[in-house]
Amino acid sequence: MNPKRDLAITLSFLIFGANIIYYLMQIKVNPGVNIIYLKNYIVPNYVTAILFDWRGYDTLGECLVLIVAVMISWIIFGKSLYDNSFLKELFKAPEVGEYITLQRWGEFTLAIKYLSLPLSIFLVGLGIVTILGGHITPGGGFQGGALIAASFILSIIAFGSNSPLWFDHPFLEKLETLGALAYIIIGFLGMIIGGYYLFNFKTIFGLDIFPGPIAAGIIPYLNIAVGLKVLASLSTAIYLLSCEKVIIERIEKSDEILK
Amino acid sequence: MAMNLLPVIVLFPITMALILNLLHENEKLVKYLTYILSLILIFLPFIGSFGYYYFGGHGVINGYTTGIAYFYNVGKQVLLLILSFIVSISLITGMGEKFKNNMFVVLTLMGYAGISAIILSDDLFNLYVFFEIVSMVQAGLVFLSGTEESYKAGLRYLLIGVVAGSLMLLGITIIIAITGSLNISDIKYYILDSPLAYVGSILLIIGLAYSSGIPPFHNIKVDLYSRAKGFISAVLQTYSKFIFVALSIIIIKIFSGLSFFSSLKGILIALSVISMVFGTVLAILEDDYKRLLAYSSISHLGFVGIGIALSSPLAILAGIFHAINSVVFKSGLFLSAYIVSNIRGPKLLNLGGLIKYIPFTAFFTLLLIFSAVGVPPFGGYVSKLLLIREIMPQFPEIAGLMILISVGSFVYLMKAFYLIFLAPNKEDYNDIRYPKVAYYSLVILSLLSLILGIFSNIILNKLFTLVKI
Amino acid sequence: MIVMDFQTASFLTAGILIVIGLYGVFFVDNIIKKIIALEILGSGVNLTLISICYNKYIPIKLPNMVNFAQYSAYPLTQALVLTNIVIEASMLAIMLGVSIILYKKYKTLKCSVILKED
Repeated sequence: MNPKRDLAITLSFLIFGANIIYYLMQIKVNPGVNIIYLKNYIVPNYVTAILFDWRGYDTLGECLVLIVAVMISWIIFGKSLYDNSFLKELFKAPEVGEYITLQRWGEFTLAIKYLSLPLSIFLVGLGIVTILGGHITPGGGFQGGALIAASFILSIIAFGSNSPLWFDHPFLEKLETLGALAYIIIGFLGMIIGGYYLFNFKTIFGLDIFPGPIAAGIIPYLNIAVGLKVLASLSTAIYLLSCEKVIIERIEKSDEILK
Repeated sequence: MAMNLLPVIVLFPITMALILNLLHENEKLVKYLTYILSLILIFLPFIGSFGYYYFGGHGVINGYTTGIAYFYNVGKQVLLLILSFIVSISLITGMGEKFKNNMFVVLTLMGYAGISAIILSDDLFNLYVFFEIVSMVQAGLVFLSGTEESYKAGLRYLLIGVVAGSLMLLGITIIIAITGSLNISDIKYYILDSPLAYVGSILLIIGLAYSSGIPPFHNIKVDLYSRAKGFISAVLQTYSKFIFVALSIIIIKIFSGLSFFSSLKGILIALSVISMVFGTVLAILEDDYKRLLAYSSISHLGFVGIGIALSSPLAILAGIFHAINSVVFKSGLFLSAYIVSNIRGPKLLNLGGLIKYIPFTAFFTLLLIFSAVGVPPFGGYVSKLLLIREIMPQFPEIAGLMILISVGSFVYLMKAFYLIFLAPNKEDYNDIRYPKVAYYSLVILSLLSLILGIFSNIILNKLFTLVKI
Repeated sequence: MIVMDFQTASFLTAGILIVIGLYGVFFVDNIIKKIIALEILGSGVNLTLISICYNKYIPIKLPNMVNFAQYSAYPLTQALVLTNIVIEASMLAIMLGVSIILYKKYKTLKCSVILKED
């Protein structure tokens, strides 16, 4: 490497870093719009109120980021490539024996098997509660969805492909799309009823939209949509990053299309 | 109450992308759906009504905009119209490939939604979210080529992208902390002169430079353009230029009243001049047609940047008009690169004598080159003339440099034209085969470039609303 | 002895995290370590966002709802952090995927090898 170039990079890095630290310490916070958020009550969980009501459109954007990331992961591992010769050269199906996949990671001891199944079931339950109670308690769609995905991953690691908790990837793909579409459609319902996209309507034709002591409107439904989507996306991402068999099958499939 | 359908501009492409994502086995359906979609896209910019749009109905309370706001006017409508046009043309061209790729359509639509959200948005954080979507989509579109170089280019782009994105978010964070708001119109009202605001503005400029590919980020961007298929590069450079226009206008809008604004202007002008010079010099040295066009696209970004950085209304107008023109002729040139590299790769020295085989492609490529160089009556001429006229009184040196750069661009584009079409060919071409759709798209784009030049007055009048900051 | 305000200390920590992250991205020649450094950089930015939420009046017991706005931490940037975490995770997932493929090709994680320009 060029020593002069190194020196220049180091110096500019030091100056930039020192400036960042110095100026960050000077910040005096102006609460601004926060005061309005705190004075206007929507649901008991104020962070959820911002995520799904005041700034619900950001959350839609966030869902889309996750969906795009999963789509691109599929592309990276061979879905719909214009030219798959590079990937085909790297990922070859083994000629003898089986794939080195999760199935063949070797058996764990009984302790792990006996512990991980109840723990996964517990995590799924906790996830569902977190999603459904997102408007009252800390938590919400993202956290709950991530919990369920974590239980899926845990059970895959412990049991391999014979995992008792198993989603097929076409199913996950559909679930993901369904979650995002549900969010978009609920937003459009708000547009029809209130005139604005993602308008939080509490009643429709005189009926409570979400029956219960707390009139949360569409927030619980948005939470459920996001939960489904996050659970599907995270599971797919982990699935892709760890399972070679899926990738090889995908490449073989794209071979048929390209011919 | 009349319903304002403004969000549909963003949400319709997203919904269609989600549906198309599930259709990877049915190529026929993908093809016809894409044709219908590209027709609809052109009408999308007309469905929203002008003015502010508040998501969820959360308007202004106690002087603060509480929700996410969009702002729409005639100028933004023109930008979106051009964007839709180029995206539609690229979508149709993409269907000329042997493999009707649904993921190409999905990602292009997502990118369209992201760019239109960035153009419409009046909210810094919402802009950041869609900014990240667009940078991911750009990497994804390059991965579609499937070559090893495309993987490397995409990874490099994302690595730098996370750094630049995080720093940009840090800038947004500083602005939230000192103003207590995320709404751009509010921020302009509440922001005070302080060193912190200056730090915030610099961090925003890092994000701007990354997303549009002006130096020091030009290398990764050029890699990205040159590794993708030709019609995808056309879309990619359109995205970059429109992000540049939207973000730089926002930066100028927020900081224009503050005392350090002149030094901010200086930074922007310096970056633009550097990108102009770098782009041209590197393009002259290049022997790969696509990379040459990519560098040339970086140098045109410099023209746009100087216009916007001068921040007088007419200069910004000229800058935006040049962005529109350069998007049109550069997309056309990338399509011609697509046709040429379908015949025998993009390396200039391997080609030659193609004018005998594809004379009409050569003719329309020449028209686009004229527009890029600035020959009347093409669009490029009008916008370059306007720009130089605005810059002359303030910075005569830069105006002189811009004329030199134009001459440089004539040199490298004509070099490419000569080597591809006129020079004697070394080997005979056994069969000339290329998708016919690409040729028709090339014709349409070169005619559009002519129309932009002839009817420039109408477009400039409409764009003027964008400029009144 | 320097006595530092809690919020300032928090901003200082965030700044240090950001600098560590930047160091890792630019000076470490290993793709996985680079990605971890990006995560640290992102955490620094997230901590900056979180530190903005800090409100001086921290009550031990729950206040009555009338004075809630005065006592509560500011909620806006907490919500933004939730969004940003997901964005970062998605970017990192894509990068990890590509590094798996490049690792398969070159059998090394060194950036100077796998990201070399041809």
